[in-house]
Parts: sequence; structure tokens; C-alpha cells
Amino acid sequence: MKTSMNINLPEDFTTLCTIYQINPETFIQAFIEEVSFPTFYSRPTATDRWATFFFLNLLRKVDVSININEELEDEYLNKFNTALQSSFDTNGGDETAAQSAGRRVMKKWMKAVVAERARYLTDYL
Amino acid sequence: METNVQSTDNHQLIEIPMEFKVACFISKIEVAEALQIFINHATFYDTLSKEYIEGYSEASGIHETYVQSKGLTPAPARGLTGCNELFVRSLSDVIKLTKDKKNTAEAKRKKSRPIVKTIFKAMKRVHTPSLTIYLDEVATIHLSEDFCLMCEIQNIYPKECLEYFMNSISLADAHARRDLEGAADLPLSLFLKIGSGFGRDPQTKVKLSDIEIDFFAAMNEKLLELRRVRGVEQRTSILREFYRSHYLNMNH
Repeated sequence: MKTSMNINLPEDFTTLCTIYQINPETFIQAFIEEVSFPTFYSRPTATDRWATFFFLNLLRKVDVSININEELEDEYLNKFNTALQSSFDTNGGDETAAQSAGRRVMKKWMKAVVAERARYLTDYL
Repeated sequence: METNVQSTDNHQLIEIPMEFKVACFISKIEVAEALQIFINHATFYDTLSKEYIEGYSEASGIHETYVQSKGLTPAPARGLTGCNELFVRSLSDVIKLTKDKKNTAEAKRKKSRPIVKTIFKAMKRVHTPSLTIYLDEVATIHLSEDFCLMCEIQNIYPKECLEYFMNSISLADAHARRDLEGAADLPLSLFLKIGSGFGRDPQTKVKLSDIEIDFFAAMNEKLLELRRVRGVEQRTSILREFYRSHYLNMNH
């Protein structure tokens, strides 16, 4: 999936990008490729965890959290944990298999969230 | 049957729960200092005032919260039996002070001190015979006149109140609940304020060793990772073990 964005590039960020000759687009692409619950939770000692830490930290901020459906979050994160654990149990520590299992739950979670939002909107029609 | 001497000794011996030691250690505060800040901010004036004053309102409500938690019905204060009239008059004077809109809370609290001192001198210190409590060979805490009066009013020993305060503190539980549910109760609210510097000397500089810096970095990561653990108890138990092992590692 591709999208175009219109974002403000802060001074400190552009300074760094200029010094190290990194295209902002390259940086953002590399960053978002590492935002992943399945990867993060299946490789607890990996060094590519910072982008997901950033995401998790963002979720702790109140203004973001108020829009989270916590019931669905409870339900699907529990399913996610079970999926990862049973994949590790079955496949003997295969991270890729665990990530695929986790990704399947994340997709179902996303569908449930979208359906819930649609229901919320149609209820007010 | 206990003798009076044994009873007095027992009421002087404070038991410091492990989780409170851990919470103080992580918050970089000595146990005695945390307890002293609680004592210094629990005042007779603030128990009667309806105005919220940061730290004082929390500290001053803990005696009563403790009595309620024990499910005790209010009984006449044994220490005040000989000076009931004086107490009622003083109570009325302090209530008048709380309603004075011209002065600041700090000024009114200061004006309440001589009133408290008069009752303190007149009352029998049934539950508060000593103003100094030894935590160990070196650390002591000092009970204020306000604190003693509040103990006598509620018929409780300082030990009970201090242990209730300490037993209510669990950083693991507080951190586990942060994203999930519930507001903190009075003891925890007060402790979290103390941990953030309330009541402490602003000149105090906290020094962290390399191991502690690593611990705080790991703690911040752990708190974020725990988002996927959805039960408070499970989160608390993971954090309790994590904090405890850091404490033991640093204090073996």
C-alpha cells in the first residue's frame, strides 16, 4: 500500500538528515518498516525494536488512548499472545511462523475495529 | 495477657514491608524520609478543611481511611477523656479557621498550630507515649503534635497508621494499573507525589549508578512491552518480580 503525505519537517530532523545525507523519505520508510507487534513480541532481544517502542509510548499518551476500544484490545491481544505462544510451542522457536500467526490475529483485530467503527457511525444515521 | 511494657514495645516496633522498601529504593528516597514527609503533612487543620491542598489533603486523610479499612466504629477518644471541653472548643476554633476566606491555607494551618499544641499538652498520650520511633539502629522518625493528636482522636497507634500507609504502597501495582483502570487511593497518591519530589529538599540531587541507569531504561521498556498483558494481577506480578530483583541485586 502506498500513500502520499504532507508533513512538517522539524529543524533538528532536517539538520540530521542533511549532516548524514539521509533522505527524509528513506528515514521514514526504514522507521515504519520496523513498527510491528508480531516482530516486536516474537523477538524480545532484537535491536530493531525501537520503532515499536515509539509506537507503544505514543499509545500511553492520554489523547491517543481515548480513541482505543479497550474491549477489542483485551480480546485480540489475548488471542495474539495465545497465537504466538502456540506457534512457538508447535514450531520450536521459529520466529517467522510466530510472526505470521501473530499477523493473522492483528488482521482480524483490525477488521473487528473497522466493523465496530462502522457500526458506531451507522447507529447515528 | 500482655503487660503494659510489652504492649508499648510492640507498638513502637515498625515493620517495613519489602514492597515499600523496593518502592522507596526505586524512587530514590530513604524509608525514613518518606515516612517523615507523610507525618509532616498530616495535620489536624487539613482533616477539617474542605479545600484540596496538594499532599496535605492526601496525608491528612490517611488516619481516617485506615480506621475505615479496619471497619471500626468510632469510639470516644481515650486520650481526650480528661480534656473534652478543651477539645470541642479547639475543634470549633479550627473549623472557624478553615472557613476564613481571607488567609491562605498555609497561614491558617500555621494559626492552627498553637491550638493543636494546647490540646496536645492537655491530652493523655495513650497511643503516642513517645515522639520518636526507631526504624533501625540509625534511622528514626519524629511524630508531630498534629500526628499524635490525630492518632489519639482515632484511638490508633502511630505504628498502625504508618504500617497501613506502607502496606498500601506497591509501585508494581500502581504501574500495572496506569493504562488499565482506577485512580490511586490516598496513600499511593501521596507516595507518588513524594516520589516526584513533593516535600523533599529541592536541592537534593539524585545520583544514579550505571546499573541504575540501565535499570530505569529497562523499566521503561518493560512498562511499554506490558501493553500486551491485559490483566492487572499478571502485570503486577511481572513488575513486582522485576523491581524486587533489582532491589535485591543492589542491596545484597
